[in-house]
Amino acid sequence: MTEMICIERVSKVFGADHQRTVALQHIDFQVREGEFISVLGESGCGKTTLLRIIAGLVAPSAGRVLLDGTPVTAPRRDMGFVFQQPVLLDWRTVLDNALLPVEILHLDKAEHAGEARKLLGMMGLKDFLLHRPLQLSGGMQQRVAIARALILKPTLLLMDEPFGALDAITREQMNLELLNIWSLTGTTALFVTHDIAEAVFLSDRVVLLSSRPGTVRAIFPVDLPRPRLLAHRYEEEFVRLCRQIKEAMLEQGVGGARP
Amino acid sequence: MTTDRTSQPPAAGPPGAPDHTTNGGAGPAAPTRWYLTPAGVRGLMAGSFVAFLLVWWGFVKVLHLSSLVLPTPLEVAGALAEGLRGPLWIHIWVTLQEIVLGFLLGSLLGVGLGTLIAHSELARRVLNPYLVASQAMPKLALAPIFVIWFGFGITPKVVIAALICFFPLLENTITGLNAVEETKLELFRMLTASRWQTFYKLRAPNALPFIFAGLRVAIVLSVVGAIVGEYVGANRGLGALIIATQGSFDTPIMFSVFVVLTVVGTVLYKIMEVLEKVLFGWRYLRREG
Repeated sequence: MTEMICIERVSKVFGADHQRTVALQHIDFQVREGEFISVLGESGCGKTTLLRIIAGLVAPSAGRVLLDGTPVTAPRRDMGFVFQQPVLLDWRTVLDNALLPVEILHLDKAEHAGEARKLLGMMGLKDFLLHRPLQLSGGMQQRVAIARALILKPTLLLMDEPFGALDAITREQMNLELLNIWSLTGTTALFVTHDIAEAVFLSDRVVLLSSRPGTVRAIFPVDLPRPRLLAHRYEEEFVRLCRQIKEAMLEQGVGGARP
Repeated sequence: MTTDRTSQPPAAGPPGAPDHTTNGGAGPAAPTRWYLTPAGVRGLMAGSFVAFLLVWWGFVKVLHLSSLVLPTPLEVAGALAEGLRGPLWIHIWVTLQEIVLGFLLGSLLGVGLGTLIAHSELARRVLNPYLVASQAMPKLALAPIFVIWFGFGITPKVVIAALICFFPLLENTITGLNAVEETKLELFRMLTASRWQTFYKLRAPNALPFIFAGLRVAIVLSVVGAIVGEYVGANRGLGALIIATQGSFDTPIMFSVFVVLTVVGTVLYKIMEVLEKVLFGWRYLRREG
């Protein structure tokens, strides 16, 4: 496995003088090709900022991000991004929403329509291709957003707490579907979340960020077999790892310092 | 239906009771929560209209008003029927042209300039003082000078109507184009969309409902502009006809023109509403189940 993303001493500072906030400080880690990595941390620890820096949406104050050896300075076409909210265009059908990246890049829509149908079908949206986003549930909308992010077969899939707004049951279902589709596409995935179980369930490695300033607290390899099943969540190894991560969070005063 | 009526004492009441029906339509019907079938509602609407005409008629009769002051509904209907047999149509046609041309011209300019301003901070800063000033200025006050400039034909009316239509569209276009959620702009950045793509695939579709809201207001304002333009100087058109009947004390004909104007305005407004529903059906969609 080769290293696909190198995050090299990335820092991000917002504001100036007494309003100055150090969001991220000296973030350093690598993501290997084909790996599924979660960035875990409590709200406000800068994990979303880190993801946006990797995506090229925000410039770091110091340090750099290398994707396949080249520094990321702007959004790239070989990246897919799933936002916290579905961010669908209400006037477009489900199918046309999934095909938006194809249109933006002036590629042949008819050629990619088959791929879009396949992706949407895999996520149970076969009968909703011509529906509008307003007719779908939150979970279905986020599925469309994932299909949109995957339509051009990105080498890197970035996800910013995509299931944060969903209920627990839908969320577990979405986790399974995401893993299924990820294993079929073989893309490298970087997933931001504040949910320990979700991070462990999905990932090959979990990067734990501390808060204010955000630094890499620890990296936990997850030695659970794939394909992951919901039953894994109740196995000893899974529970042990979750507890270990939770303890690491408490130890640095992240969760515990709060009332 | 009869049971529905009886369950609606205040509004449906006996048509002869003027106290209830004069302030009828909106007033007493609003707070009631009784169930009405659609047929019942239609019956109530028809009933209230009949009641309105009866009250009008009774008013004229009781006060012994001359038809010079207030003609009865029957006299107005007579004048309307007479007018529709021939002489009214040319006036309707002229005024309709002024309304539609003014509306199209003003809307196009409003959307065009609104787009420019929404995209260029420089244009906004340079043009804004003029726009504020001209918005504060009552446009109808300019009607006499347009007659001097453009004569007695339809041109000055088109210009006035256009001027009045211009502002709601300018405002709504700017608002609509800027009302895009930040996350959607970020999505387009992430997809490496060009500025132009962000405009026509995101900002413009997002602005369309706003623009249509402006068009609905503008079409009604355009009627006002055309009529007032005709008041100032015209020999044809519904506004000119009103002025002419004022001179000749033909009050029934004047009232028949009011009826025509109401119908014209309503039809134009409805057309815009239907267009909006057809184009933006998705806005009214809701989740199934």
